[in-house]
Amino acid sequence: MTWLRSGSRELLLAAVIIGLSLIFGLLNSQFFSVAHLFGIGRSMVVIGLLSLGLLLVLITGGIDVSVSATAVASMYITTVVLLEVDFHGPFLVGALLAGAVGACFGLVNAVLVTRLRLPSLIVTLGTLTLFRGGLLAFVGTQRLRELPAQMSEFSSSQLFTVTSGVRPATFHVSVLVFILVAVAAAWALRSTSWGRSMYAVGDDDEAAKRLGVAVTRVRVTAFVLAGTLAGLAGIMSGALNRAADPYTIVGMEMDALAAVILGGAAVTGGRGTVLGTVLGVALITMVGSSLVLVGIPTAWRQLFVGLFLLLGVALPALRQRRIARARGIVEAA
Amino acid sequence: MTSDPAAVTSTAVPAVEVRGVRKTYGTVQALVGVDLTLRPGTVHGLVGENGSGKSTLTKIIAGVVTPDEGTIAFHGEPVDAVDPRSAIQHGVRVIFQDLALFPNMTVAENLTFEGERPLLRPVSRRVMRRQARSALDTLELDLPLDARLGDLSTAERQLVAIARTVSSEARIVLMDEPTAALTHQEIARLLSTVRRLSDQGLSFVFISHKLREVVSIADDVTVIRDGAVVSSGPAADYDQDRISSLMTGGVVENTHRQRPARTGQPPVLEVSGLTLSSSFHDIDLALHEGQILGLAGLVGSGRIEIGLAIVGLVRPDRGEVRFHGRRLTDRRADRRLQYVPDDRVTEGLYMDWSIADNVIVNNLSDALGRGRTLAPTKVVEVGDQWRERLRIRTPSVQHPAASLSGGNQQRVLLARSLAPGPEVVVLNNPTVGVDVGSRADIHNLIRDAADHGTAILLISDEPAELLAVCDEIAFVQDGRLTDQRPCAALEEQELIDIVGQGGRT
Repeated sequence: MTWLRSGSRELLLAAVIIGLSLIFGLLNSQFFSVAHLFGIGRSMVVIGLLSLGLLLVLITGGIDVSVSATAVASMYITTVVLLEVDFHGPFLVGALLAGAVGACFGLVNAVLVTRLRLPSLIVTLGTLTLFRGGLLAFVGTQRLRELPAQMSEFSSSQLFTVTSGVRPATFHVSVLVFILVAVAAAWALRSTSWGRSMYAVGDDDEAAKRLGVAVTRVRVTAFVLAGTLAGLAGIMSGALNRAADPYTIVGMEMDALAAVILGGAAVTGGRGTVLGTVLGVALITMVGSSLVLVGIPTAWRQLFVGLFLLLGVALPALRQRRIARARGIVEAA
Repeated sequence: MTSDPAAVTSTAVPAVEVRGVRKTYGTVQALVGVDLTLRPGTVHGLVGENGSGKSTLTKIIAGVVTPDEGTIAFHGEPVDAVDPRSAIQHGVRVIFQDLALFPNMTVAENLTFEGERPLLRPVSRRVMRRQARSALDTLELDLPLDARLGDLSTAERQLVAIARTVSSEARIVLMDEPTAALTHQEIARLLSTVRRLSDQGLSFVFISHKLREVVSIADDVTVIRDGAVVSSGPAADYDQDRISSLMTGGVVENTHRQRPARTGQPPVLEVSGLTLSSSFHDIDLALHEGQILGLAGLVGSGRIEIGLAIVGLVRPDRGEVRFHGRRLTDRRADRRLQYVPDDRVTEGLYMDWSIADNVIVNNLSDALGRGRTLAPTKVVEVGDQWRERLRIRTPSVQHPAASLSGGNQQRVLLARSLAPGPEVVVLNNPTVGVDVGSRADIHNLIRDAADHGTAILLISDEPAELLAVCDEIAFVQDGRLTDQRPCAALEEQELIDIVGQGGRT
């Protein structure tokens, strides 16, 4: 019962995804090919990791729009460092390094937000530009086509290959990484003290403080983890694209925000689930990568992201209004 | 209650010992050197008027507010710099006056939330539900575990806040006005649970406006006034009359105001069939020139919403409000109707603005100079007039409102509402967080406004306030007006009894 009610957003999203799939499938049978579906999965990885990080921050009542800049900066810095030292070890080291660099960027956000008590939207708007600007000014502006050996190798690491259709459909390892991260995040949010504290801080930080929650520490972990996941998203993006491009990922923070909000997270904090976020990511990615199949120019993608974002905030707002009406509260004119 | 308090005092280590606690907020002295000894396994009644410092003291013991001076020991163990974590680890559990619950969480999640746990400790949903169920069982409550807290009524939320404190690890429970929204039956059940748990060794600090509750449950009583302890001792030494005279410091207000006759005059404001299905039903009220009508009811009974609907801040489903027999198109915009909120800080004053600017904000026409623009000197002039009339204590009306004490801020709020010369004023708990002296002054100001012809609707949680100020009192129970009586024929206890009947079963 309650699962149904609290999960209504997830059910709604699932229904929309299935409905749209049927429409896409009817318009172009290519949609249901294994290759296309695996392709969607692959496209979900980068925006998905960004979204999960953003979800954590939103649950605590903050926002982090700098995740895209963190991702690209972490990716580029890591690549440059690995090339510099002529690294030949496993890709895992590169991934960990990118995560660590991302964590540092996250920490910068966390310190600015918690120490200076600044609104996180303004801080991360600032750092969004700062991180990217710093990257271009101090690290480099060149697109690097020669990646470290293990990184280019990762780009073709397929978990398995299905050869049913015309061309073989491949399931990329990075999709598994995203699934594992999502499962871990879902578990941590649902079933650890930390997860419960995240929701508590976002719901009512004064109440959380009075019940002994280390509010600042919880907020810091949210930003640092968002940075870490962004770093991971960055390195995945670099590997998947087989190039370290300082101009990539830009603007993806809006896609991620749309996905998380569409997934039921509240900008006011205290609400949001991993399942909802993953479904939001799936919907946005599916629409984005299927437009071509049904003959809509890819340029329309942005339009849909904007619509999704507004829809995501409008749904709970309309519900709120209905409740407020029932309570007779008069809106300001 | 039956044991000899003196014998226990000499042997047992106090559950809480507070010594010389002092706390100042800006210019306001909230506590001026308070001592409190909570004996283990007893109930300690803490009483004082609004703003006397009870809640501040509770928050200091809970570690939420840091005192400027003074020491606190739990079970004989001194704790320097109590913070919420150390208090919780010493077994302190609190029902805060504002409840401090999480609206987006379920009842079960609220009941079992523990903030001081190591961050990576796993939480089992099953264990959580079992603990929540047992907490509700202890209080013989039946609430839906999976309901979102924000969807519950005020009374249900208060019960959740109470249930949250009776976990297995609680040793000291601080209850700040735990019964404000509860009916007689619910209160009786709560008091018997408190008695049972204190017999099992739990120690309670019990704060309530309702002196009869305090007298019936407490083993010891401490009375505070304006931030200082004025009396403390075994409950046997106190009765309700003694406590109330200690609370007010002997300031007795002339109760039962003599209302000027209003024979046959049509009412200024007439409310008929006013209904807001989620809050109140079929409200009929008439306010006459110069009349002060009180609105009494439990927290959550709908009495505040009725007041808001009358001034147009809440839109009712049905019914109408007539002003001099006519319906007004927009009551919010009409300066002849004024509303004075209970929360000065967030709903009332512009804290950063000057006192004078706050006073004239509803009545700019009084401060216009040549060219029909605001004249700064006029603004100050008008501000000064009101400073004198309401005796606002400030060196200059050009200082920000935030520089004033609670009582003086309340006067500014009153000045703002009275400045346009309104015909109807709805007041919501006008003396919350105000010291005893200012309180009597504010009551006089309200009476004075009524004497000049203003019709006043006074919503208050304080029985004494209603009796001191009003001509008549209307009772709200579960969203319905059940009775209206002249104050002259009402005693305080009777008033409390009528209010506490509630409307719920």
